[in-house]
Amino acid sequence: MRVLTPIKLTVDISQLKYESSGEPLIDIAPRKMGDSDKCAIEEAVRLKEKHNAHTVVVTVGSTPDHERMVRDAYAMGIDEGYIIEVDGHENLQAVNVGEIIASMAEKTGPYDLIILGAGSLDTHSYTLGPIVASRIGIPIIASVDSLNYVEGYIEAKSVMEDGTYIYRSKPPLVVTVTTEANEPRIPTLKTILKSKKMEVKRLSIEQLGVRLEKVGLVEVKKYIIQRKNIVWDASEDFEKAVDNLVNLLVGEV
Amino acid sequence: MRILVYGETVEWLKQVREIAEILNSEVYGVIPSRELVNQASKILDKAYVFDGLTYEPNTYHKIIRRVSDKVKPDVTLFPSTIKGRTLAGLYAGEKGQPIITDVLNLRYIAGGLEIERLVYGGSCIATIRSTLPATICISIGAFKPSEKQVNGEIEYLEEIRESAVQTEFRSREYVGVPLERAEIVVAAGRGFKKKEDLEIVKELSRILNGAWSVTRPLAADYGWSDTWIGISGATINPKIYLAVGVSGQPLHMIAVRNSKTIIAINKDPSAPIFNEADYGVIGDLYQVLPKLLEKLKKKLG
Repeated sequence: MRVLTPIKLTVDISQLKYESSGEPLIDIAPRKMGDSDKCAIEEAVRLKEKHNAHTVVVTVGSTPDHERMVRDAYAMGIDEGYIIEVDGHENLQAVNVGEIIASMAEKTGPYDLIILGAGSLDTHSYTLGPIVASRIGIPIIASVDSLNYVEGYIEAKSVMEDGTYIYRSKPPLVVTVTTEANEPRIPTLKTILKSKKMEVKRLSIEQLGVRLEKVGLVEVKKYIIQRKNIVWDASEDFEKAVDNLVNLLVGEV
Repeated sequence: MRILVYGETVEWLKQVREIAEILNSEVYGVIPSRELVNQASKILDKAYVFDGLTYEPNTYHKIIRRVSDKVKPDVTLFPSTIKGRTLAGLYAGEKGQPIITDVLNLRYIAGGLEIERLVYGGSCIATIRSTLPATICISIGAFKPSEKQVNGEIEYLEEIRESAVQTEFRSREYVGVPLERAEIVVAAGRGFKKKEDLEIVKELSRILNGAWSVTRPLAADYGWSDTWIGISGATINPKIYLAVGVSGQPLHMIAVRNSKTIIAINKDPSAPIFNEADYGVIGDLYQVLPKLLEKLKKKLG
């Protein structure tokens, strides 16, 4: 079995800072691998351990952070890693990123499973897995909280607002996993040292034959909704604070 | 100009009617349930209806694609829910067209659309320009529902039965009002110390004829609930969102920002939620909630 895990370098939102004008300082914000991407790697490595899968990661963009991220994946147990060299990767159309990954999968595959993190936190939220599935022309099992490979079938569970969906299908498949799927392993010193010696392969956009279009970005600003911001301190007047809540809630009942 | 929409709820379709008015477009819908037919035909210019199929994205996508081949839309709209985003990704991937999620606003410009969308986990708003045709996921509650009524056509679709993915669905048993339709939502955050303490939140929501939920850590880390409010869970836009012991992390707030009024109870005066709330009480929820419940019971009989 061959498993491909596309991973994405994302802006670490918890460390985002802003100009006084409200413009976020994107260029200096730290980048990291998405949390659900780590869960996707963990699922791939578990398939390697249990079912002898050959595991591959791919990332789109050519900064030093991208190479670091591929090495982090090696340290978790991934066998092979590719960097797709693109400048300005953060302004690519989501559909282009999907095309790049689909083209890479066709060139270096075939793969039985393509496992992605369900959601990245910056711009391609929950759509990259479905785009890749469509581009390759294989089915998707999306946003799963658990994943098992049993007698040639993938079995997966997805908890949604209206209930629980249990999916079962034979590979080839695209599967997207949420952060509930597993607890990603922490690399050991030994695997980290080993990861530094492994080769990182590189492919260019020309080799993949994808034509790119940038997002037509006009501006980015901090999102502020005007709220009333009226606050009562219960330690000053407990009864009054609770009465105010009652009036607010009953006014709408 | 033509809009195609995938629609599961009447509230969402009414928001799409509002978008159709803004863009001065005809709006066609793919509707996955016969129960919605009567209302959908008054909102949409034409409703393509199928029924009796458990949600499974690959099968639903085939149906949407079939309708799209007839309608040939300039803009295809989905709600920015997990299901909507999945279907939108399959659709845009197949068509090779731009896809934009978490959209708050849009307008026509020469050659396409100018769109405002949430980025970076909802902390920022980006203005972008897109060519047409495009696939767009609208942030739930970003547009007010239009009450305009039309006399739309209805076409029943032949069902597609075969699917590569077998699906089994176990419906959630709702006690009270479903979260997405509730006018008042009470949510519990990490200020709660144990699962049993959520009983008071449930009782409060029952008295207010609303719904209750939790933030992600209470569901995903502690297992106190199957679902939660947040970017990876449910998105809500009630009249009142009452957040109890909720600190206000960005990935939670993105899912509640379209609430009309936000009220917070938190003992930490520096909790970020107070910056995004209309009204707040700084106080210990273990003291405030029992008193609030007592007074509400007295007032509402």
